[in-house]
Amino acid sequence: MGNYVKCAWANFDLETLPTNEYVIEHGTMIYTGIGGSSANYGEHYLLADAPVKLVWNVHGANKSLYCISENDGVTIYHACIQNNNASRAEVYGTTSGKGTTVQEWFYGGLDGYYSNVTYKFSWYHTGSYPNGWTDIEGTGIPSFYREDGRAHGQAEGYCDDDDWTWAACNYVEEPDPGPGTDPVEPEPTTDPVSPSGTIVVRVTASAGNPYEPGGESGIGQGNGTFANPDDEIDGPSLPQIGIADGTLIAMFNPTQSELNELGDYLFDDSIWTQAMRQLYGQPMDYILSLGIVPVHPQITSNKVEFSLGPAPVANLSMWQITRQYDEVDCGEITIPEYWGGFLDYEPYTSIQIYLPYIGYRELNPSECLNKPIHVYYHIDLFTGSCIAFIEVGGNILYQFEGNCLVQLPITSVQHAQMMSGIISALGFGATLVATKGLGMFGGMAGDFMTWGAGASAISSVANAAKPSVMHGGNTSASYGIMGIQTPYCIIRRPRQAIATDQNAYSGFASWYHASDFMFTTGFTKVAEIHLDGLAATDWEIQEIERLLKNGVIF
Amino acid sequence: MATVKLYRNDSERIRVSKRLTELGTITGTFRNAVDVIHPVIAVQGPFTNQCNYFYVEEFGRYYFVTAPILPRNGIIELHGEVDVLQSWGPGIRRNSGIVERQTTGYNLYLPDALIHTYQNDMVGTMRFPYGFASKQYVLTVVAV
Repeated sequence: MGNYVKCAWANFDLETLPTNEYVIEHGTMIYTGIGGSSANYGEHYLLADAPVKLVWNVHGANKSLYCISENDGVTIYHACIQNNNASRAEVYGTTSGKGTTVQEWFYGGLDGYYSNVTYKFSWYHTGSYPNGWTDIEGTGIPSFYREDGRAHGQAEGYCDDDDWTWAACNYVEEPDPGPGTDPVEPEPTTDPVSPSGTIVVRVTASAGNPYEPGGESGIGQGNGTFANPDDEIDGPSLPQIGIADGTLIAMFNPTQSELNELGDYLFDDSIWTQAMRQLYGQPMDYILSLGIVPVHPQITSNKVEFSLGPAPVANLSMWQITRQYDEVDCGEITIPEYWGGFLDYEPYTSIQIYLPYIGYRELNPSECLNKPIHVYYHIDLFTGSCIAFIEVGGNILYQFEGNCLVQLPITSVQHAQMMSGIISALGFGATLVATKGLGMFGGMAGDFMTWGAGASAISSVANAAKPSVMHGGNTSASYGIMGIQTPYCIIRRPRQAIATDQNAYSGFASWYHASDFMFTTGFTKVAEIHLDGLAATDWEIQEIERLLKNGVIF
Repeated sequence: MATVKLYRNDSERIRVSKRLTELGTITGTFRNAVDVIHPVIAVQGPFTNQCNYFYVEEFGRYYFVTAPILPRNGIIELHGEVDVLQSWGPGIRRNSGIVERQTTGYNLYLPDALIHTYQNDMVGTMRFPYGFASKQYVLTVVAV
């Protein structure tokens, strides 16, 4: 026999093979039943009707099963095995000297079933039948067992096509036309679970399919570009303009004691003060607003002299705010997937985010899971308007607005207006008029009212609305300042109910094209199949299709 | 001459490649027309009541035993129903198709109607590292 190359697939029942030498009919299916867990070491050669040796090499962690063919002692072959879970435990190498394993790759390990394992071999060889074969007797039955402790169905990894034995089959020089020698194409490129936990189904693009990128779209078949834009949506920078530069208005950041001093000045009825007010006007008229913000504004390095109108307030200086807009960065979190599957997404999983001064808002899990979620606020210190930017994966996907300024009335008129607004907002329709000035600056920050809702509480609310302590004019901001000051997310996830070995009984959802089922193991339900190449009767063909569509076990 | 191999089948009915234990081989001749799909074959030879499966070499098909085997006067009547999966397994494997459910070749991101969920959800919270840590007065006045 001259030089030749053969390719074939065969399954072996290693346990039932009676000796160490066997003949494999190309393309035949022999079924394995590998059991035990001891780590045996051995080399068992299987002689086919071609110069092929089957070697299983069980030693330590390197449990392998591969084929060898030799040409005058030079081994020039690849071999491959696949375990029962369709994740490939592959061993191949180029060696010199039979029985020597140079390289080993395990993708997924030999997962699961200790018995009734169907291994598939691909083998090829070149050259003439070697002379002088010397079988090396091994010991024991080859044993494979799980070492990684993974559960069934969690084998990871995949084979690159380049690594596969059948790639070598392309080197056919003189194909053997005999039965069962047809080369087997690579298994459908489904990676059950990649090492990162991401399940990848690689789809081989084919021309003319309008649903695949790059496919040709004909008339009436859609004109999608399959181009998903990915422009970066950056958040804005703080506005660099404003009216807080001291030209039209001036904003100050007083302390509690400075406010008390200001109060003393405003309500000072000494003759000198009255005379100054006759000259410069009422100082109250120069005050635009007083409030509390939940941010430390950017201020001057030194306190500046404080004045109301042209009249300076004696001996009173404050830090002046130098920027009308400010930013509060709340940092970022990443919400990981919990199940690593469809249950992590809507409608099964929901995410709410609480934003101080804004409230609860919904986030879309598809947009936010496994990506850094960064929250920061831009705040207008003059109006209290704030906007929360939610940056997901580097892009601003959400922005919500609110108000964080707790306005403090400084005149009776302002107070009356504020209280009228509150009462009206509560549905009382009443107008409450305060009739006298109030000690406005005492203990403001910590004494905001909590409103009890309900008609029966009208009187008590009305009484409570006569405070000696100022109340924020903006109720939302007032509530906000009493609320939780840090954003957080509430993630509601389903709890899945899966029976033990459910995938062995009914499989899990998949959707891929299997170019054949040579490597397929376990429960398989086929959605569509067009059987051909079978010399079966029509009834049998229909029965096979019916069974495949109901689910069979390969 | 018909050759019938008797087996004990320990595999699921829907398994394509079944685990078979050969119990014996019997030979005979077809006296009447035999339905290839649902054959009834009367044969004579060694018999074991563990037989639940047989193979007719002339048909090239495997069969489930669908009715009890009743040996009488040394005659065994086998009622069979063709096992299309075992009979045509190699050919089936060479075909291609769209796989809808699979034991290991699955994609967990595909919605799966057979994954049930309990009514009581899990609720978790994640806090952002920072928040509003300061409360400051802001006094706005007319600049002169």
